[in-house]
Amino acid sequence: MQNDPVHNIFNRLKSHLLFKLAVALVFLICLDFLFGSTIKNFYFRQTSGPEFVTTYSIEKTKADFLILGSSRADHHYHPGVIEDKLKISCHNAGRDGFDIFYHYAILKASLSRYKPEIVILDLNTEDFRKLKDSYDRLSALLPYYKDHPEIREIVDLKSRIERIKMLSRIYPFNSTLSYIILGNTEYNRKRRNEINGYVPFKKYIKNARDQDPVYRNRK
Amino acid sequence: LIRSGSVAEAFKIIGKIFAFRSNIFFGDTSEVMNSMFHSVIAVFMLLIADITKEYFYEGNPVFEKAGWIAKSVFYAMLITVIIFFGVFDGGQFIYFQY
Repeated sequence: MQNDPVHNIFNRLKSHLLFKLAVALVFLICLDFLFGSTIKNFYFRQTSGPEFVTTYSIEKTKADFLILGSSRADHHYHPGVIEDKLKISCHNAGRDGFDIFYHYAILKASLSRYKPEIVILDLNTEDFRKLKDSYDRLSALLPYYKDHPEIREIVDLKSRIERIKMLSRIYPFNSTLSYIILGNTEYNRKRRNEINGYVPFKKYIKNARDQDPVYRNRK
Repeated sequence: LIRSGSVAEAFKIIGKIFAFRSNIFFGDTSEVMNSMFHSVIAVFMLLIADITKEYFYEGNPVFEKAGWIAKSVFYAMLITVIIFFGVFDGGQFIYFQY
């Protein structure tokens, strides 16, 4: 056995740093594939939460009336009211803290599947500023990068090496564990109480009039 | 505080930190809850590492005696965990809800 040439070559190679690195890399690729595929499976099985609304907006909705925007859109436009008044289907694709890049990606993904009759884009003044955070938050679209070529040019704005990072199967799901856990629970579905993407705030505002900027300015 | 829009907002946040009447803050929106969740995991891991170092650490004979293949698997797992939990940019943010 000791004189076996293959065994001898292996023995010589295993003391070589590059060989050890190559083996570690193979393990890394295998783990990345296994773990990434598992996480992806659970990610797309969510039934509630912001990630679920994003998935629904990108892959499923065929609503005639589409609402895009940040938290103001997410918590203000009630699709039920719009459906009642206009007699057309409505979906609220707004998401807390996200801005124009995200809305544009959602719109592009939707338009690649169907043509909504009306689209509302709720803009804030922040949307007109060039902020690094706006680019960083594009990470929410990474799970859709591989299957949706229409949004790639937007996600690629995040950084120059985004395409290289996307070789990993885990990277698109970075920091999504709590979303995935919560999004797969019945508790979260009841807690968020989404109505076609719309998430109502059920709280009492103390001195609501004083906090209303419109009323304050009038005074 | 760095992310607050104005000095007044920054002082308001400091004031809220030292307010004792309200409940413990875990966040209302999923984004805030996500940040809190990762903070708790990170703090817990640091605590475990510190306690281990302080009271139990006398080298790690199991890891030191392990073969290079086992060590390669360990390092691959470590990199996998970093890719999954690591913060690479400002994508994770605290969304002010004061």
